[in-house]
Amino acid sequence: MALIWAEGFTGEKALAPLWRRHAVALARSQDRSLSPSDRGAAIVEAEDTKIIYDNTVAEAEAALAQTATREELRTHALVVGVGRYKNAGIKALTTSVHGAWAFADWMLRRFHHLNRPLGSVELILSPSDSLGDWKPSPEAAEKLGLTDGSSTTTLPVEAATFTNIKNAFNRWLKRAGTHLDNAAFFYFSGHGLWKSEPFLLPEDAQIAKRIEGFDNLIDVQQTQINMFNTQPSVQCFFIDACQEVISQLVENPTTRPPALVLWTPANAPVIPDRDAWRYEGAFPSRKAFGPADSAPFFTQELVACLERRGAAPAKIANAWRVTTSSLKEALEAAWRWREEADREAQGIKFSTAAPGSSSTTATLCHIQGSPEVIVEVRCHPATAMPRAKLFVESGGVRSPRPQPLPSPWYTTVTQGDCSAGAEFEASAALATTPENFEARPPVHPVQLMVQPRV
Amino acid sequence: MPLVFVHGVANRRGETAEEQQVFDNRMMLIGEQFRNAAFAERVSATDGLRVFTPYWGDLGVKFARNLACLPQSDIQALSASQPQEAPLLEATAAILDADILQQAGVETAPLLTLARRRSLGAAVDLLFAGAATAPLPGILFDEATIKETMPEVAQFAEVTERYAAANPQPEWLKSVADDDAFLDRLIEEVTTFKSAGAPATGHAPSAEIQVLGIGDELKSFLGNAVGAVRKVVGAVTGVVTDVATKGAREGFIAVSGQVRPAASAFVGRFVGDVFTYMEHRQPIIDLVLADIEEAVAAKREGDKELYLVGHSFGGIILYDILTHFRPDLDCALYITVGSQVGLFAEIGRLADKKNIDAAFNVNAESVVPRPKKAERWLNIFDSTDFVGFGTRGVFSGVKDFRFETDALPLVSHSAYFDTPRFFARLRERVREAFESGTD
Repeated sequence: MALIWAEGFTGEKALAPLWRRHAVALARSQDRSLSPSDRGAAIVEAEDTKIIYDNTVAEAEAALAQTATREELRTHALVVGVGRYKNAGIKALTTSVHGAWAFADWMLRRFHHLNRPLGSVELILSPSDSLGDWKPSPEAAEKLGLTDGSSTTTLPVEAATFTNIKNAFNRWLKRAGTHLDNAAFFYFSGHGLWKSEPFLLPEDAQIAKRIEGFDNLIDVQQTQINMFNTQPSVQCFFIDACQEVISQLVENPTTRPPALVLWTPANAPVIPDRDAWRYEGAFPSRKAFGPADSAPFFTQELVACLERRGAAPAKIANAWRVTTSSLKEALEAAWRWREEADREAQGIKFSTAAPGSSSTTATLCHIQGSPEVIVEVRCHPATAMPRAKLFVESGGVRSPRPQPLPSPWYTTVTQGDCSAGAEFEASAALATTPENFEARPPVHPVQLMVQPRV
Repeated sequence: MPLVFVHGVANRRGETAEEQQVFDNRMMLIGEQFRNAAFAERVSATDGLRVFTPYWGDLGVKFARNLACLPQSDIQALSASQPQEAPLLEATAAILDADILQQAGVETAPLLTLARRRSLGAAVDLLFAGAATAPLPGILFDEATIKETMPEVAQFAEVTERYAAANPQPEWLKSVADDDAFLDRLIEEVTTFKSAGAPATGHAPSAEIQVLGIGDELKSFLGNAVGAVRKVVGAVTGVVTDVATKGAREGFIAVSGQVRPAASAFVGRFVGDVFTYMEHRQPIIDLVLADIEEAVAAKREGDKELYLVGHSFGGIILYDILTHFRPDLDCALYITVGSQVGLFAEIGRLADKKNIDAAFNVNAESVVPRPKKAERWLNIFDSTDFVGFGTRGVFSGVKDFRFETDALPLVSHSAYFDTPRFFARLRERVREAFESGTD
């Protein structure tokens, strides 16, 4: 089981502490250094705590189903992070698990939707030995019921093997599918591959060698395609993994993808208004990456866009919302901004895919407070760019581009009145007048007309 | 200031995108080995030595019937339908000899066979000759990936050369079964060798960046070379089937006969390109000078010295530039490899003929001084390279060095830059040149 939070289940019914009690007892029951009687007691405790946890989960799922019958919409998240791999040829990771922690943490603490608040969070992790179990932030721990006086306890969760991921996926989708207009968020971070479509690697992924073939790879694209007639109508996948091609895939003689789906189509009619997107931390055949001691770059930018940078251009009912479209646009600009601002992020490139067709634009969340806007500044003609010292001014503060470059400049400002301009060395004999504008999210393009200086 | 490498005669990018990619990748790898091996000690700029490789092959000779007069051998016929494989074919065939071709297992594990029979260094030469010339599958290596991977390949080549020099016959050669296992083990051993030799910096490492993928571009790149070499050797042993039954001399003649067309093609292009240059120097000079000007403009802190390196006729082009077309050009080090500068000085065919003749006419033993603005000059040749000449007795202010490519004499002229040993030896000669000069 991996359900760590459900709406309304707090205090003694909080799921995370119940799961933790079971996980700790289970670990003790497998500890061969304990005496037989202690292990025996631990086995009994593990069974008892599992029953309590399972019963509470069943209650939670029934309550969530009731919520749906009352036409109250909810967002349900499944978060998977893989950093430990059984296959010796696959390197351990820490950034991926930091990514899963960061996304789960954000969902618990900061996710905000006026009409479709958070309903549940399911979490599956395979942290590397160097990382250990998740220790949530104080605010998230409090929401999970994991605070113990002034300290936070860790939360061991189920390992991210293919079977565990598939089982969790099925449960999550059924839970989210209790209402057509619910939203289902699937987040994955770990190793990934690509051969005409992306494949994800769970903990027990097997890479083809002379003596064995591929096994346990996740065919995420086909999985999404297979959800064409499965509720809910809003299905978002956030995938922070490489999409690189390896020779073993190219040489593989199978005609069908060497990967397995997490979901097969049910016998149900096609969902007429479906908004299904896959936001990816890499471009086909390219890499995703991140610092060993924090979330990968895509996850960092994803959270920033959901939190404040991905707003749609217009407020609705006095609220800024992040839609599937505005998030796509924001992420496309975010990697460009990040690549220039952060030397270590050189080479990142995000992408999006809409499996099948997407016939509407759903609201994913609402931004609290004012959104940030990504401003794209360029000169016309483009030949002036390498000599242009660009700047933007927002709230009375001028922010210059660190150095002139031939590519457009992406920077962030607070939504509202701003200006953008360029200065040139005298030898360039060029000039432009600043452009005043009201920065509209998610990405506001500014073009500066450059003239020869008379 | 950076480095300008001028290729010699008979270098052509090819007609197809695949051939051009092979050529460009070879140039890129040569450039990276200059950066990461030969000149690594001289440059402190954070982005390293800038390398320029002007291509003047399109200005060379054009054959009316595309060298139809060349007799074809079976080996050349192997590449007829895949012209992008021709350089790989020639580079691989150059390193094989009758003795190796007679060894059991050479067809399926040529690198391992060569390592066991001759030395690990010989196998490393073959591996990197293959790496420099094997076409790369586009699905695995796009332009960006190649550019990212080449520095790593060059750095690995440099360490592998040192490892092979220190371990000519390591014990582990006995326990690996095939060339794929050979490569895996070589990478492992060289990585350990490198880590063992790395000095402690005393600084805390910066935050590590992790890649969310399992690809290993270096291993893929070299693995591609292993597969390509195996394929070529398998094909070569297929056509040179009677080598195994011949003695050493007959075997040598048989193999030489197979690579002779490549040598004849080279001679044809050499003669053609020389005549073309003699009749129309200016366009070639202008093209090369454009890159030299760019190199001069690229001067920056940590990379201030201009190095001019010419292979074969490229050495002559550079000599003409230094003495006639741009005698004002400051050059910290001029290097000629397998070049004919001495020969062309003696036959009066360099652009600076007037001054050369004047220098020769002083007395019976007088020599021509090194170009005024070239502070140092190294001249390198393989004694089996029949178009690689010395400078002794013709020029002063230059040091001659022999370098054994270990390639077949007919084709050793093209083999200098395909072996990491060359860049390692060059690094030592460069160091000496700057410590003691070349006077």
